[in-house]
Amino acid sequence: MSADQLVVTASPHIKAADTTPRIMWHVVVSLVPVIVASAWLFGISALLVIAAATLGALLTEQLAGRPGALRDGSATITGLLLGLCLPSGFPLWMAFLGGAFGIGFGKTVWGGLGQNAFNPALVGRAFLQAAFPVAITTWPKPGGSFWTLGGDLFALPFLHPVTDAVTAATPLGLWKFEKQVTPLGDLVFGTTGGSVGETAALLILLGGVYLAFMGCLNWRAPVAIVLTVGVFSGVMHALDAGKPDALFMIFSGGLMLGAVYMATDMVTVPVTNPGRWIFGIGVGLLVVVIRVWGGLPEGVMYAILLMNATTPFINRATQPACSAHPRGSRHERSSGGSGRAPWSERASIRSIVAPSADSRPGRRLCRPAAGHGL
Amino acid sequence: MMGMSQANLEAPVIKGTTGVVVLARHETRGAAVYPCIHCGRCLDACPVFLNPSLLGDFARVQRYPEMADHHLADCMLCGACSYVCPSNIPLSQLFQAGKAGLRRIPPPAAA
Repeated sequence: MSADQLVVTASPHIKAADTTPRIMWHVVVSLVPVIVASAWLFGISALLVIAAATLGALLTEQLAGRPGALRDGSATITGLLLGLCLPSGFPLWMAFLGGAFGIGFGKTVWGGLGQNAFNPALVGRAFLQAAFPVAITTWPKPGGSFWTLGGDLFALPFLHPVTDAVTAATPLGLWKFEKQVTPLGDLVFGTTGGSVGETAALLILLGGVYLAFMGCLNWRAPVAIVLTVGVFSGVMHALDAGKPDALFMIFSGGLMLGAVYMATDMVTVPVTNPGRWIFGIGVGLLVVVIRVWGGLPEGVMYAILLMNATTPFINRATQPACSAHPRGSRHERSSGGSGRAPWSERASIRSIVAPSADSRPGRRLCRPAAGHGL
Repeated sequence: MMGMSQANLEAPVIKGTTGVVVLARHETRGAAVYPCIHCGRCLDACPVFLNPSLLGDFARVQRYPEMADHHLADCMLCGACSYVCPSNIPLSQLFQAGKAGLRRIPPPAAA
């Protein structure tokens, strides 16, 4: 073998098998049961809505994104998730537009994968909610023949849709406006009105468990969301029986889809584990606040988008403590005015790290031990 | 796994050489590098509790003083972050460059 056939790379020379596209495609695979359930419940029209949103996302990524960006699978996830949180009779051109907007303004203008501050699927949905508030809250009834084309699927662009489908209010809408509580069984198995992919809470949960087992999902944010919503609404239900109980809140609306698939989007949630707990708790509180006291029946989308905005601050507040420093001393550069003990007083730590290092307050480095070989 | 690659088969084995590892092409890390998706695996892997994700972002734009603020000097170049990174970002190589870059910057005069 001649030397020019040698592969010269930077160390480490081997690598864990997981790659970013593999993680993304695992998420897509875990969404398949949810998509099948949406077809089962809402028929072919659900599949058409999902396909239109995905097509919009993929086309925009191909045209506006980085070359080859389609292969990493993240645009597919965005399109599928957007489609899954739209009602089944949603006009297809609107779904397409939502996917295109979500990728275009939620992702590529930020610089593509990994750079966006807000979840692209939710950006697309927020856009659709603002632009087409009637169409996005027209919920065709689940059930009926598979081949029935519900709602205004084929409404022409920019024409006012004419709704004549049989509609069913969502459980949250029923509770908010008519004070009716949907049975828990319907919520868990998805036989209620709602967006095509958000009703089958059980299958979404299974997809999340699969992803957590495959190591493609950090469980902290979804667990924090479900626990917070459960505890907060449970306490309120105990104080005032007119408020919905915890299980209803957890299994209704988009909470499960949001918690498992939107609040685990690694790009837009905090990178640290404590940060993910804080993020989840914030989402949970906002969801309950919006649902119970807000004007909208459902608030998962806005809760997650609002917490996405706080992600940089959460990241900054929850930086890991460097092992050589006690927690609290890591922002050494800001310690000038904070009255923290200067380095020289932390002799016990310094004696381990750098026995002979003198204290130089002006120098912001945490200094290596003598003979560290740097 | 943190040894140096050799491009030249004539390289001698010297006193300090602790081992020679030969890997087939398919066993080495691929060339494809993806953007950081901030999955946080490097934070879990780091033995000295740094934030390699953030340090990598700084290193790419050569903001070495900020890297120092985030305790780059405590990085011992173990390579655990590069090993787990699903985006195949050469983090430890970036940190090595960061450390070299910092050495070029004269320390501020003592206050």
